[in-house]
Amino acid sequence: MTAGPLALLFATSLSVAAPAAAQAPAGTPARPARDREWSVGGSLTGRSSMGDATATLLGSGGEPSVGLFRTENRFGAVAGPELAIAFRFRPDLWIEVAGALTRASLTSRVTNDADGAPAFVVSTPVIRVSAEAGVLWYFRGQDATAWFLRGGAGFLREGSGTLALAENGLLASGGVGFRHWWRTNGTGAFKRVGLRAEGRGVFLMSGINLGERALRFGPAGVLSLVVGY
Amino acid sequence: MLMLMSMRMRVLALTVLIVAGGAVSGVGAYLKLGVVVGGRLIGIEWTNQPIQYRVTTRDVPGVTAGQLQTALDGAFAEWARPAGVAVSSQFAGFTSADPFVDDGWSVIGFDARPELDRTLGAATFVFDDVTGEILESDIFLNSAFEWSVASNGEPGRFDVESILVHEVGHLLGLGHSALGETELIASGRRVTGKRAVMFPIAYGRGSIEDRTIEADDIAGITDIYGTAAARRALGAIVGRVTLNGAGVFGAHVTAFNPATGDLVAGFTLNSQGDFVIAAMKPGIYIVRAEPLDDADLESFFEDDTPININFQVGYHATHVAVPPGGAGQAIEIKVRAK
Repeated sequence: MTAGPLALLFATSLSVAAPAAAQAPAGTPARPARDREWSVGGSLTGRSSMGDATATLLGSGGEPSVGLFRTENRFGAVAGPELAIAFRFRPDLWIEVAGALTRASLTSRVTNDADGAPAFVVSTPVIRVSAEAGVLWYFRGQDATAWFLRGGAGFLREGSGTLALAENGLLASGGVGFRHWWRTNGTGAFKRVGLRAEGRGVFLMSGINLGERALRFGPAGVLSLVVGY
Repeated sequence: MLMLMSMRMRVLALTVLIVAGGAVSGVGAYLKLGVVVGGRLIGIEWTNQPIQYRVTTRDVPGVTAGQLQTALDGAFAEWARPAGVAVSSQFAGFTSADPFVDDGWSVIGFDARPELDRTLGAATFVFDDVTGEILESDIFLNSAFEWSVASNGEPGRFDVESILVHEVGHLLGLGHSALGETELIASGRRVTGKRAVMFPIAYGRGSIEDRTIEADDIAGITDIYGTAAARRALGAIVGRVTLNGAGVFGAHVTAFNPATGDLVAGFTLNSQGDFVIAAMKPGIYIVRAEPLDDADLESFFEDDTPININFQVGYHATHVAVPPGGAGQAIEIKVRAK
C-alpha cells in the first residue's frame, strides 16, 4: 500500500469512485459494505500439460510407422499481477471484471529421437494477457471476513518477444476464497482496506497450442489487496 | 548444377525409385527445382497456364490410355487441391508421340525401359534458362513394371495415380523431399515411412498412399504457385545450421508442428548453412537438423556438391514461431561433430 505504483493505482480509483453506499444490514451473509471494490495483487497458476505429440512417418497403408521424435509439451507455472474491480449487484452477489498479465515458460521435452539424439528440452518464454468477467457469491461471513465462490470466463492472448506469433484463446475459471477487512473505518477513499485470497481452477482453450490437448487445466492462487468504497 | 548451355534446355530431371540409384539432376532449392542465372538461383515454374498435356495411345497390361489419362487428371487435381494454389491443367488429346521427345508438347505415357530396373518413372523439362519458365515437360512410366488403376490398389502392381502424383510434382517444378526413412533389403531399399509424396522412393506394390499429398508437398507447391492471399496467410522459417561456428551445407532441416502433426522440411543450400522453409502454416514448430543419409545423397544433390554429413542430430533451443505473411527471427541450429 505504500508502494508508489500502488498509491497511484488507488489514486486512480479515487477519481472514478462513486458515492459510498450504505452498509448492508448486519447479519446477512457476506455483507459487502460498498458498491465497488478494487483489488490488486498477484496470481500464480500451476503448470499445465498440453499433451504429447510425436513426429511420425507413415507406412504404405497410411499407418504411423516410424517416430522421428516425441514431444511432451507443457506450460510451466505462470505468475504475474492481476487487477480487478467488482460491482455489487446484490448484497451477496458481485460482478467482477479482472485483467492479468502473466509470464510462463513453454517447454517441450524431446525424446525418442530416431537417430539416437539425447533427450532435449526446447523452451520459450510466453506472456499471457487475459481479461475476464466473473461473478462472486458471498455465501458465508461476517463484516470482517467473508467467504465467496467465484466463477468467470474471458479472453486471453498468448505470445512473446521470441514468438513472433501470438494466439488468442478463451479461459474459464472457478474457485473459492475469502476477503478479510483489516481496516473498516478509514477516511476518504480508503475506508475499507483488506486482503483477498482465492484458489481457482483455470481452464484454457486455444491460445498457444502444442500437443494433443486444446483444453488445458491449471490450479491457481490469487492474493490481492482490496480497497472498498 | 544445371548448365547454362542455351535458351532452351532439356534436362532429365527426376525419377521415382523403388530402390536406391537412378539419375537425378540438381536440386536447386528447398523442394523446388532451380537454375542458376547470372549467379542467382531461380526456381523453374509454369507461367503459362493451363498446362496442356497429351497422353500417349500406348496401352499396357491392366491400363489403357484412357485410364492413364483419368489417373493423370486425378494427379493434377491433387496438386491443385490445396487452398491458395493456382495450378490448372488441360488434357489436349491422345498422341502417338513418345515422351522425352523435344516436340513442344508435354507428353505423358508408358515406355518400356527394362534397363532401368529400379526406375518406375521419370520427368524431363524444357525450360527457358533465363526466366526459369517451364516450356515442356514429359513423363514416362516404365512399362517394364506391372501397373494398376484399381481404386483401392492391387497387390503385386504399382498404382498408376500414386506414381503420377509424384511425377506431376516434378512436372510442376518440385524437387525431392527427404522426409522419409528407408531400410536396406536384399533387393535394395524399402520405404519404412515417409511424409511426402515427393520422397524419391515409392511405397511398394499395392499401396495407394501416394495419391494424397502431405503438408511438405503442399508447402512446396504453394511456395511456387501460391496466390497472393496464400502468401499473406502463410509464413516461413529462416535460419542457418552451424558446426563449430561454420555453416553446414546440405543439412536436412525438419519443422514439426506438435499441434497439427505437420512435418515440413528443407535443406541448407550454401556454405553458410542458410535455409528457408517457406509457405508454412502459421504456428509454433520444433526444428531439428540432421545429416542426410549417405545412401540418399544422390537423390537430392549432384555428386560434386560438398554435402556435410559428419554431424549429429540437433534441435533448435527454442520453439520457432511462423507468423502469417513473413518469418520470425532467423534462427541458428548449432550441431556437434560426429
